[in-house]
Amino acid sequence: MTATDRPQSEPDRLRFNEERIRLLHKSRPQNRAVQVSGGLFVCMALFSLWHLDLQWGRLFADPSEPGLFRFLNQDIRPHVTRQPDWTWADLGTWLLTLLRDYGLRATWGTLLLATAAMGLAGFGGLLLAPLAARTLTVPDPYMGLQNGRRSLLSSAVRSLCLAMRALPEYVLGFLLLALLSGSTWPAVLALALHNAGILGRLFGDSLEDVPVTPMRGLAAGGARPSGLLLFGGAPQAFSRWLAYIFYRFETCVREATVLGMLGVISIGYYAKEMRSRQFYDELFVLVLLGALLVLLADALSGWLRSRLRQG
Amino acid sequence: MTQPPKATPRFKRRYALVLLAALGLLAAYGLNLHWKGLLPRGEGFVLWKRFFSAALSPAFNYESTSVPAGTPPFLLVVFRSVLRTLEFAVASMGLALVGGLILGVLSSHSFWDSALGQGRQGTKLRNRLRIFFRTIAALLRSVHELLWAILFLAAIGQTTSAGLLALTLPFTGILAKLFSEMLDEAANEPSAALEGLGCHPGVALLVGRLPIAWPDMAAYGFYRFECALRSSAVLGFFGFQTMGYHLELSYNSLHYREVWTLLYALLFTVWGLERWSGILRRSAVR
Repeated sequence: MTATDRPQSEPDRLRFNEERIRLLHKSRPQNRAVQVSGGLFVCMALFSLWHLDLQWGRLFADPSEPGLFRFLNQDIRPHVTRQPDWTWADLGTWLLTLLRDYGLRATWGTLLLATAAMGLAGFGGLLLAPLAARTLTVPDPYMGLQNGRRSLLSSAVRSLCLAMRALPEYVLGFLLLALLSGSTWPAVLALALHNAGILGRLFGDSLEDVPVTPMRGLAAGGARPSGLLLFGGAPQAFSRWLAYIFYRFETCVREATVLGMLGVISIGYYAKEMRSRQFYDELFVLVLLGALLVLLADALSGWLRSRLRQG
Repeated sequence: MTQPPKATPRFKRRYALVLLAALGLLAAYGLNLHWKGLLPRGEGFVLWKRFFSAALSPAFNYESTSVPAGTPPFLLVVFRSVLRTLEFAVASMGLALVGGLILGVLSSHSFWDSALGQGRQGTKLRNRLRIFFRTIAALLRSVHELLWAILFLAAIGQTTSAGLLALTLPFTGILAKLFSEMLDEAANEPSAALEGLGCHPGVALLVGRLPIAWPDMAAYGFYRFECALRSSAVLGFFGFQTMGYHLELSYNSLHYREVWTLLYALLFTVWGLERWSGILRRSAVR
């Protein structure tokens, strides 16, 4: 269509414009797979909501009956404030006693759990990454055409990573609990295995994505895969690796708050205990402590990552 | 003008790895971890052998010989638990996507800076409202699914709605954070051009910004769906009828072949989801 085709009279021009809009609409980018998946997901969600047979009664129950209102009004209220003549000093003493008795220990234990697991996971990720990077495991890396070359080793390692991260940390920890003596290793190992699977894959991906020119230069100079990794791949991917480690640390802390339920002294451990004793006020304080720790880890990791981006 | 690259990076990277390793070792020391704890001892070794040899022969039927009459066949129970796990995951993700989109828009710069009235007046109020919604999202996501589950179990008892809420709330917070970041990072020009033409700022956000951020949002949403599936399986350890429930039962009765059937079913489901998202990613790139 050129400018000379443009009709002159008003109604013609309107019709012409409508036609063009229709054509534009028809030629918009469409994707069958995305549309089908979206529709399928919506259908599945509606079916699930119906089939789960949700009972909302207790959510809106009268405050005199067990339900959300009573829980918020009575159960999670610090028990010292349930007396008619309570003072803020009582509340402070209660909170301080709680923190001294187990609150601080629980928070510290959670942090230790996350850090130890992160150290192990980072180590595991570093071991897995070069093997998962297809650009390094093909014969004659960075020589000749790279596209479409497959590597059996990398596929196997990537499947291993998938299997490691497919199982939830809690399930892994639960299974390891009976297999290992003591209760700290199962939680640490569960968290470490899951994250090593994730980091192995992410580290490997960033090794594959490093700029190729230095790598080609090294390869042309006769560097072997180990040399390519140590002097080309690792230095170039290192910032990304650190960013991934910080990012995972955030998630690790969050996950560590509940892994304590498997028996490590941490927030989850005491949360489970307070639940079984029905001390819901103390349970609520523990949940808040956990949230605080997660938010702090979030802020720390965000700050470190922004520093890393600035160079 | 662009700044010339700095000669010395501000972040001393070379020490970072050493520092991280040292922190990890210190934490391990603080937890009294010893490598000997990794070795099975005495009876433990027999258990390992039993557990891992069961991996080769997953159960297709109950391992126990005395199953009460009328019990549904084992594979049907496994199938039902997979279905229930998927139901919790899909339903909570469906709600969290809607909630996360709304909360994400409400906690984004791009909404408050353009959508509500131009000019300087009310900047402070707008900023406060944005921070308010951001704080809600942060609080929702900083409490782990299982802690939410414990709270809701205590509050409204062992109902499916407790499980659904426990999954939905944290995922809403996580999605809201990511969605607002993606909206703010989307290219500015199309929506600015639309607004320059006199388009309502809200509409500009909807048709100028959202479609650019949309692929990233969908990809991230799908990744979260996988996480929701895992969390939903774990909900079973708290009495909901998902896979964790049957895992715990079989494991505690030392029926390791049943455990492996359930593990394989879980792995297969996660793998299936990963395939699905792989197909989506590839077709979206094309």
